[in-house]
Formats: sequence, structure tokens, C-alpha cells
Amino acid sequence: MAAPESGDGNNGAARMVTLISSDNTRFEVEAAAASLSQTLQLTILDGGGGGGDGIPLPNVDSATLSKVLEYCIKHAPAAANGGAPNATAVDRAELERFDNEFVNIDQSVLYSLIMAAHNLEIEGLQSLVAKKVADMIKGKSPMEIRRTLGFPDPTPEEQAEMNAHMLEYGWAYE
Amino acid sequence: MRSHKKRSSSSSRRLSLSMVLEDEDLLGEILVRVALPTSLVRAALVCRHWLCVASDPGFLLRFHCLHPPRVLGFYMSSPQASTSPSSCRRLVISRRSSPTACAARRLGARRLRIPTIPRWRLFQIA
Repeated sequence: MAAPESGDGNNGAARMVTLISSDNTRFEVEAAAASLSQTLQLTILDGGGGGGDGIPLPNVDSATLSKVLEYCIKHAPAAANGGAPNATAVDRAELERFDNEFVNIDQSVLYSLIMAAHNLEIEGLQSLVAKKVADMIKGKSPMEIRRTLGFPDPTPEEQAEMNAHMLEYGWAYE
Repeated sequence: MRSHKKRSSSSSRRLSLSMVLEDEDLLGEILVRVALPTSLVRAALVCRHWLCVASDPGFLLRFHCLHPPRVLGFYMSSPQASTSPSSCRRLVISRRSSPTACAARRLGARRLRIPTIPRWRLFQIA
């Protein structure tokens, strides 16, 4: 894991913790970055995850965890500054640019990220990914939404229901 | 940082999709961010489960707080309206290009009727 830019103002040398994905890959990351996860924060505060122990994450595979940590490392300095009240416009623009590129990914990765952000309780990431899926839905008709998100074809019963709705809410299907 | 492998098989995609979209909390987090009421109605018509999540009173309250309704337009009636109530009322939409305005304009012509109306009255679409 590449050393991130130093974001801790009062802890001296950055403390590292080890996270273990469901497929047994170990990731060493700064405690400040991993603590963006509310789920991990208490364990880390209790001194867990250090040394050879590691914190097992049975619900998150290595591909997803790698992506999650990329987000956490980038956002940890701003989070450590209490939401970065004194961040410059350049810093904020840089984070925004990172976020936009970060969610420009395959849908399957997007869904795995939502699950992981939910399980690990990383509020910013959860919001970012949910917003991306919401943007994919916006302005589309119900059928277009189904196609975009890869829904299976409607069953005859669902189709009949949709036809009935179509009479009532014709504008929504245009 | 190790690079992630894309899982592109449709079966794994479908598995993740159903895990996300069948979870009420996760689906709610997505739907609450579609921002426009018209997009929410369209999303609610995707399937029965989405309709259920999108019409939950708690969800709607949150949606309303995050995206408060804005004045979309008003009904204008001329002085003759008092004698012929239905013919001289006109829906005037202030923001013509928004998707909500497009939907309201279509509905406004046919469905948004107010039985008694003062001379000027602001009309808000939630």
C-alpha cells in the first residue's frame, strides 16, 4: 500500500492497521483512513488491527476493499480536519474531481461498493455511490431504468401491472 | 494499492444488483437522491418493491426535507372567472424547461382542476 500524504496533525508517526478481505488478502492502511468506517472506528480505538492481528472483513472482497481504501486514503486528511473548514477551494475541487472519477466505474463494482460502504458505515462513500446510481436513474422512464440497471425482463404479471400504470401515468413512460 | 479486477459476468452483476436493490435501506438511499419528484414517480413505477419503498411515509418525509418543493407556477383567472368558473383559468408555469414543469404542464391541462379559485392563487406541486 502506497504511503498516503500525512493527514494526522497530533498523533506523530501514523499508526497503521491491517484489514483482511473475505479472500484473505491483507491491506495495511493508516488508522486515520480506516477510521472513516464507523464500523471499524471502535475496534481501532480499542487498539485492534495492529501488529500481526488484522481485522477480518468477511463481507468485503479484495477488489472492493482496495477501492474502498482508495477512497478512505484520499478523504482521510479532510476528515481529520473536521470536514476541512479551512480547506482551500483548490483542495475541495481536487476532492470533487477525485470523487467524479472514482465513481466512473463498472456497474458491478458500483454495487459492491454500495454494499461495502453500507456494511462498513462510511457515510461519504455511501452517499457518493448512491448519488451515482441515482444519476443513472434520473430522467429515465421505468423501462429505461430497468434496462440501465440490468433488471430481468418483466414477468407477464409485472407487464400487466405496468400497462395499467401506463394508462394512469402516461407522462412517466415518455 | 493492488488494482482491482472487473467482475463482468452477468451472473455476478445480477447477484450484486439484487442484493443492493432488494435491500430497502440501500434502495432508499439511492431513490432519495433522484432529487426531482418526477424522477421519483418514474422510479416508483419500476416494480412493486420500488413503489413500496418510494411511497413509504418516512421516505417521503426525508425526500421532502432534502428536496423541498418549489413554486412551479400559478393559476391565473380573469375577472370573468366568477361567472364562468371553468373556462377562464390558465396554468402559468414559471420555469418552463424543468422536467417537473413538463409533467405538470401535461397534467395541468387535463387533471389539475381546482373547483373554486380566487382571482390569483399560487399553486404548489410537492
